[in-house]
Amino acid sequence: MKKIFLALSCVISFSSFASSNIQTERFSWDGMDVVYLADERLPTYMVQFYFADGALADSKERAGETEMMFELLSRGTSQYDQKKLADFFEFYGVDIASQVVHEYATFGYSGLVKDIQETSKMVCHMFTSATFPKEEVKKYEVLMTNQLKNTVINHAHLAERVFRQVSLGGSPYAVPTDGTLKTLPKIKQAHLKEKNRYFNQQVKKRIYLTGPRKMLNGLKEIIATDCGWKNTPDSVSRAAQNDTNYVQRKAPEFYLVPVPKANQAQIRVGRYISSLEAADKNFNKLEYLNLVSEFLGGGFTSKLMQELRVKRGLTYSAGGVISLQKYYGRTVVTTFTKNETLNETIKVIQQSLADIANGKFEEKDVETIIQNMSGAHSFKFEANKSFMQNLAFFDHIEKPYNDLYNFNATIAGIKKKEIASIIGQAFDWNSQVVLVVGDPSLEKELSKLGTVTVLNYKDYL
Amino acid sequence: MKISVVLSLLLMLTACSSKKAEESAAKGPSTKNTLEVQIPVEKYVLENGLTVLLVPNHKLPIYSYYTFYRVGSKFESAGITGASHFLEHMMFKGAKKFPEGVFDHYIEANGGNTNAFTTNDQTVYYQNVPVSTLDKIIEMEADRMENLALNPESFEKERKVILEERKMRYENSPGGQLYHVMLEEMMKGTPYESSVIGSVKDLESVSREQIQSYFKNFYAPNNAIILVVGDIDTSKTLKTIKKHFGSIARSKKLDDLKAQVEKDELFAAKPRYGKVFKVKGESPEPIFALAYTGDKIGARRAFVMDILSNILTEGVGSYLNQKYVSGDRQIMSGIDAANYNLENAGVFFIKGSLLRGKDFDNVISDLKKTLKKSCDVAITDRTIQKTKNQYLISAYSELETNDGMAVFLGTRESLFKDYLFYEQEFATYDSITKAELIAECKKTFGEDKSVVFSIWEKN
Repeated sequence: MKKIFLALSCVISFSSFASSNIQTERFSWDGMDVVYLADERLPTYMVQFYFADGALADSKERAGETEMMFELLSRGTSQYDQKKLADFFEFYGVDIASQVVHEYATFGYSGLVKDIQETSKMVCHMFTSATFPKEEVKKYEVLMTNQLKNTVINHAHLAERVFRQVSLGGSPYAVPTDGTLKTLPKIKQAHLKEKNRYFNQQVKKRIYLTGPRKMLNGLKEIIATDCGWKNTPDSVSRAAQNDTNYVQRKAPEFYLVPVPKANQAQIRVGRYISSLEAADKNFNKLEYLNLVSEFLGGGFTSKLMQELRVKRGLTYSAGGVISLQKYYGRTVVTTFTKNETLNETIKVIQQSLADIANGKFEEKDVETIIQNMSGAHSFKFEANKSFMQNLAFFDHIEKPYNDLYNFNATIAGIKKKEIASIIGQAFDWNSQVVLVVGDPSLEKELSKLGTVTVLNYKDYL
Repeated sequence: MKISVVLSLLLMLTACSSKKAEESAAKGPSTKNTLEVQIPVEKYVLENGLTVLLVPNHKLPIYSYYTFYRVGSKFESAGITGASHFLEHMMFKGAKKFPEGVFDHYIEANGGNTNAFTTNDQTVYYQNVPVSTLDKIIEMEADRMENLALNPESFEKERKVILEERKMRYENSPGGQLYHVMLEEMMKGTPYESSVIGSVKDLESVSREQIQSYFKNFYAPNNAIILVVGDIDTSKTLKTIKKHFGSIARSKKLDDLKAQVEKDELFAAKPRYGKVFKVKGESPEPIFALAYTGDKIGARRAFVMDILSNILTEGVGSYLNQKYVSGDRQIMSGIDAANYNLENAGVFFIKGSLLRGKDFDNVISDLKKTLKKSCDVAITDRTIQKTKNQYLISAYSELETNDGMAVFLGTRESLFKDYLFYEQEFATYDSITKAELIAECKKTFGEDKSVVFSIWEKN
């Protein structure tokens, strides 16, 4: 058993972490890595299963299949209908939740420790005996269709959805994980059963646990016997995708998604980072990307918030991020403004990015952001759920936990020129997609910045 | 009610006892509720009326600092609606010792975060920060309580920002729009009638001097509660708080101003029962609220209606979810009951959104009939116990972090002047019987003193 003590090499926080006994332990249960975080404070637990495949397992024609499969696990088994399953979990106050991203999926549940065995058995029963009743598949399709068609009332959500498909265009990651109006009706009961069988029997798994040590009693046996899970050398992990067909831009592209009577314009700026580029020296240090994202558009004192809100009152909120998954990445600036100040806001974003790329900021700004990120580091360990999610992501991208514990030491080494270089490459204006969701009349104004392509939002639902 | 409700709570923090919570947790669902909460709270009231709650938790070198001001939109007179929320923005725009930018920069430079929220009854400011910042945070909070700058230039910029925020939250959000219209009608004629963010007219015209006067009257130590939860030495923390806050003067007008507003007769709303408000909005499908008069927080009926709302719509297996969303008759895309209890009045409402092609009037008529029937079939020993179990988990979840603990205790101290009020809450929930729930259910839905609201593009 390998014990990893948090922050052993973290100079600033060493004593606190160590004296607080925040520690993770690793086990191997039938070939599956198990990470356990002990916490005796409250009689509650959390279990999270990680599956080494995600929405990329779906064919283009049936996009959304994996997410639907996880969502419908609790909608009927060989023994229980959806009502009985819901009653079971809700009676024990158990929260179950799944998350599907392109590269991986998770399924988690939490509740009172005294109930963990019954609950775990029921969860295993769902995985092994889910029937995906036809009427439940239909209900899900109706709800999802309704939800997608109503996306038009949430302009921020609509902007996210269209922006992903446009800015990641040509890559395998452009397709929404929850599917589209075209693909959802094609997903049938048999597809879901097969998908469940695939995740149940073939996909590599890891397990993350937190709670009082008592929670471990019998859990290994339940997962082995009731879920029947084990990892073998043949277990499947999603491999790198061929993403060479992504759209490479040589000039900024402007898109308008008209929605009627909008009195605000949602703005998104960003681009795709290919698997090849993700290996570039500017992008190969996750800690630096986190820091640069915070510097650009994290909190209230970030560059974008200062320039857009504090100095000019153009918006209520603004954010910016460079995020990398295992095999790809993306950049996004997110904000909104009133119709009259659309172009001004875009110009301020462009200028802010250029200023950072050209090193027009102070050394003390770098010191400040390092101090900020160092101070914030402790909060990653406060809530067990977010801590476990951090560990799961580190495992997913095959990054050692020590990097998490050494975070503060790592970011202390970043230089001003590195921040400038990362922003310069990630947000090079000529490779950006600038997408606006707003009133149709904005086309005229936006066209002053460049050629505008008008998109019908219905094509992206 | 539902501040955060727990019927049976056995909490042992590392700092307060060696006894393990799990030891007394019986196997299987509990039917007998035991209340044994041990949170190591130290409470002080300074001479100027400032209430201070300190809770040590040495898990990590961090803490949460909360300030509850017992002022919200109900104290705003005509012409200054939105003043409490406006001040929420201006409190981050500098004071005498620490000018604009210093507060945010200091907190963020140290890896903390800060924000605030405003309700009809209170305004809450908070920071989550590393423990090394404690003395400075106390000093800065005292500075903005005593000497808020209200810089004219910043004031005008924030006016613009708030108008954009208003569009985002209400004008461009059918859900927000519905909520706004509903509260306005259900609280008609009471100090809760105006929205927390204020009217566009007032936001455009309110002067800096008006806001300054409002601040002087309400943002004073005798109207505030400070909570510090985390890796703190309580005696040192208290000493520092006394040093910086001890000399800040009370608001002399506070009691009179509050007495003018907090009269029971002012909160007797007269909504137009039986009326249907159909508002044109951007929603492609009708979103509706079926609203009933609720109760003020702390009233027994408020607790009863809490349990009832949970039984009706909490979770996929709940009664109305099965009837309209997850069961055989799929009519709505979602349904949710809320028991919104404010300090002086309340509203109980059921909110839902119809699926495409469903007839609004028929659905509402069906829902009203279903609610009447629900009293005899939905309220069972099992659904009551289920509610209790869910409350228990919810409370544990809230108490996991410093931030959650501060909200848990601070809300009770602010609304009931007693952070231990949760004990009374749990006892009250525990004392509510099935018969009482059924009787209240029949009274509420049988009388049908309701108002219907809907937002739809075809209205």
